[in-house]
Amino acid sequence: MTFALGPLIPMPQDPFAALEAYDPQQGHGPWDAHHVAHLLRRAVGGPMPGQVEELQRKPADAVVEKLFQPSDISLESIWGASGVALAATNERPRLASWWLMKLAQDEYALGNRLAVFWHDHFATTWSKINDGQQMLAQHSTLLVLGAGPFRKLLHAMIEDPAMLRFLDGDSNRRGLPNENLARELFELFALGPGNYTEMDIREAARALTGNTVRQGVFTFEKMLHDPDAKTVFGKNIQNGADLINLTVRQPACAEFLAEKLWRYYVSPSAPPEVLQLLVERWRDHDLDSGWLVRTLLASRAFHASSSMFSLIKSPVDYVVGVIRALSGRPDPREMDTACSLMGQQLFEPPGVQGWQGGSAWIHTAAWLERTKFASAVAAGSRGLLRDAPLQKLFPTRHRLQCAALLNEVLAALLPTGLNTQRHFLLQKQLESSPNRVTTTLLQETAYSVMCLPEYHLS
Amino acid sequence: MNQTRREFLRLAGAASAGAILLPKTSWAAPFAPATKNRLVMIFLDGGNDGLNTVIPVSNDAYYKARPELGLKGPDLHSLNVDFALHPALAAWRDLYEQGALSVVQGVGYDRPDYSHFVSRDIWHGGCRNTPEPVTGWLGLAAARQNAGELPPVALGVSEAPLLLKTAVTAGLTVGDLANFYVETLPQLPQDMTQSGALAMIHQASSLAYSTSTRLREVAARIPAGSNYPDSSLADRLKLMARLARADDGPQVMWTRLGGFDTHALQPGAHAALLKQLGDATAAFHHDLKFAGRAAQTMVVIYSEFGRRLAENGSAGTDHGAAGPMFVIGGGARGGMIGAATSLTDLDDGNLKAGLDFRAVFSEVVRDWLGWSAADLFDGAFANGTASAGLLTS
Repeated sequence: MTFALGPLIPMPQDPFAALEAYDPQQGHGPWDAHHVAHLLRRAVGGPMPGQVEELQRKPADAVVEKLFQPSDISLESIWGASGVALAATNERPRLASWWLMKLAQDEYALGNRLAVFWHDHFATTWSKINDGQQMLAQHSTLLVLGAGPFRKLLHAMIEDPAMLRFLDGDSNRRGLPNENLARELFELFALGPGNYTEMDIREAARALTGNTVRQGVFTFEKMLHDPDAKTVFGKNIQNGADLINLTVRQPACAEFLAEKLWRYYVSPSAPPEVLQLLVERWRDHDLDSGWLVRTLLASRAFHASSSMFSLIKSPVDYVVGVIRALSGRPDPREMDTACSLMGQQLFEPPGVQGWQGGSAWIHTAAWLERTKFASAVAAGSRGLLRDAPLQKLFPTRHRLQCAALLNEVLAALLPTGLNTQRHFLLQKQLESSPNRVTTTLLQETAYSVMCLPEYHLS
Repeated sequence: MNQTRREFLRLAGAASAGAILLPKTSWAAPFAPATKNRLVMIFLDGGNDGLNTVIPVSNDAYYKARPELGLKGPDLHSLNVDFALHPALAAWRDLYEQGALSVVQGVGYDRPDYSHFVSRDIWHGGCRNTPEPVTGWLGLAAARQNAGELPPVALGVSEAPLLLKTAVTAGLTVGDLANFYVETLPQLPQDMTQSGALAMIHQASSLAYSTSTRLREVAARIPAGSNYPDSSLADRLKLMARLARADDGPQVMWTRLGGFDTHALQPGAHAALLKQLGDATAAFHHDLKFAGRAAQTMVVIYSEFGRRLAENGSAGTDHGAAGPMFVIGGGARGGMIGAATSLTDLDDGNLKAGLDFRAVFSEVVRDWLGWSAADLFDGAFANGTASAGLLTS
């Protein structure tokens, strides 16, 4: 992207160089606000005030490690009731807004945003499950196993009550197989289309018979299990555990997942040679997703100019990024409402395929909702910046000076993300705006910056 | 549309409107916006079970393959000796008798794909041989038309369908029209010279800001019709009817009805969906008929695939291949269109397509909308001349 300021850092052609750790000491490039903000956007949803300055003083590799801290925000701390009690109320917005509060307020917990990736990947809808306990249990599994070996996560998912109910695994039984879960296991969860046959699906469905849900918990019922041999990918297998072990060893599995994680963390498309090397190494690490995310975020490929601002922010990234940048302590439900209106209702993906993502996030209906959110944040309405209105964040001395104020707002919201030409034009536009009667310069500046196309890139 | 064909349709429509239900006025005055043909598309998301929508009542193979789910008895709405509609589709039986409903049988494409998402993208991308299409045929077709008009609108959606996408825009989407506004526009520099994602975002924002006022004004001029049932699809169709009645409303509208992936406990879920679909579309048709616009408004209903002939063990059905499409109102000739699908000559347990969806849509684009259908679809359909016999026998 040519609009971003800073020196051009090419994507290393050599795959080994692309995946080695970005090290300013080795002359790979600077460790400045540009790079720190980039890392924070991708890892945790964006910088908080002061965070960029603080992390710039630490070594790059230490910063990546720091991001793996667990969340310290509990459901209780948001809602004043235990998770179990809350889940029993069966209210999707409470769990969703707790998750969004963690994203907005945990300084370093990368797992919150990684869990969004896995939720999108193992998309399960609250409306079909209609059981808060099971949805919370699935969320916890994604959080706990999401940064470990993929095999364990995948195995947990075929025994996850919400997933079994979502894809009819609970009615898949001996003599009367139901292919739904088996098909999506291959197509969406582990291999991608084209890497299995229809026969593999039918046989896999038989291997999964017996996995069911009783009284809300996973149970293997031997009587429902098809005892005959099954042939999947040309191998004889018996049950779900065999199926998972076999599936994760398929060449397509590591390729499919590594590529998808690359698209979430690095750029819209991975150079094939780099991806190939990454996949080989990932296999040596037992497809440990934590290792993969750590490697990607630390890599020179990640810090190449072509990776910066190459992704489109999801609604969650956008909302969370704004609240983090402005130190908001929002009414938690308002974040959930905003994300939902923009097309990303947590715990309610549009279907088992998850959200389309990328450019599909940006369409007219979603854009007007993004605009309205920006407007509400700038106006301090809807409880979005409770305790920390804009006026507190930006110095009084600049309140009437357009150029200085714009610099301050850009530094907080879009550090180094706007080129000089666009910056200049925006300033002219704000200076001649007819709206001074109805809105303050600060409000209009913040509103306009949040509506810049550049602000919606990560 | 080529001149001869247009001429033929005009003459045929004028001479025998009973046999071919063509909207005469649209051909008589093709340049008056008031009579512009409208298209409403409803996507049944998840793979509608065509066999339990239009039941092949005279076919033993159907009942053999579906001992539990096979539908029979007096609740069915008979269309002819061989076919009957699902009990929940009472409203459609009346439409059928009035010649306002066409059942297009056995629609699909070659080498069917059983993935929802791949198959949906084939239907919306218009190409069988492009694994990951990035543009939709309707978006492309509309982009070649008059730029000043409202582009096709996807209503009641939270995601933009591939169908409306072009290289530069995701198309016009509206969730709830009541929310489709902003009070004050942000101050944005208008020098968008960048390409790629930035240009795409800029395009979406410009389209959103410029159409939000216009769409709401258009809708505000037309009062809502009455007698709609209480459902989310009916709410959307009620709004679409207002936009379809407005002379300067969008020419094409799209929406989806989800929930058709009935792998388990199909009977209740499928009946509820079909009832919602049948009642809402019939109310829409009657609303437009009352307003004198039914003949100019065609509703096309489709799904990414049908379901397998044999039921599964969960009182459900798994992903299949060919299935029926439905056309209501407009110039469609009504009745059964295309050959009945064989239930014995199967492809791995699935129905074979007798008619390609690209032929159906080629005809709709060319002969109904009056747009060019060339280069929208791939393979034998690339030249845009294919027909399914929807408008003419």
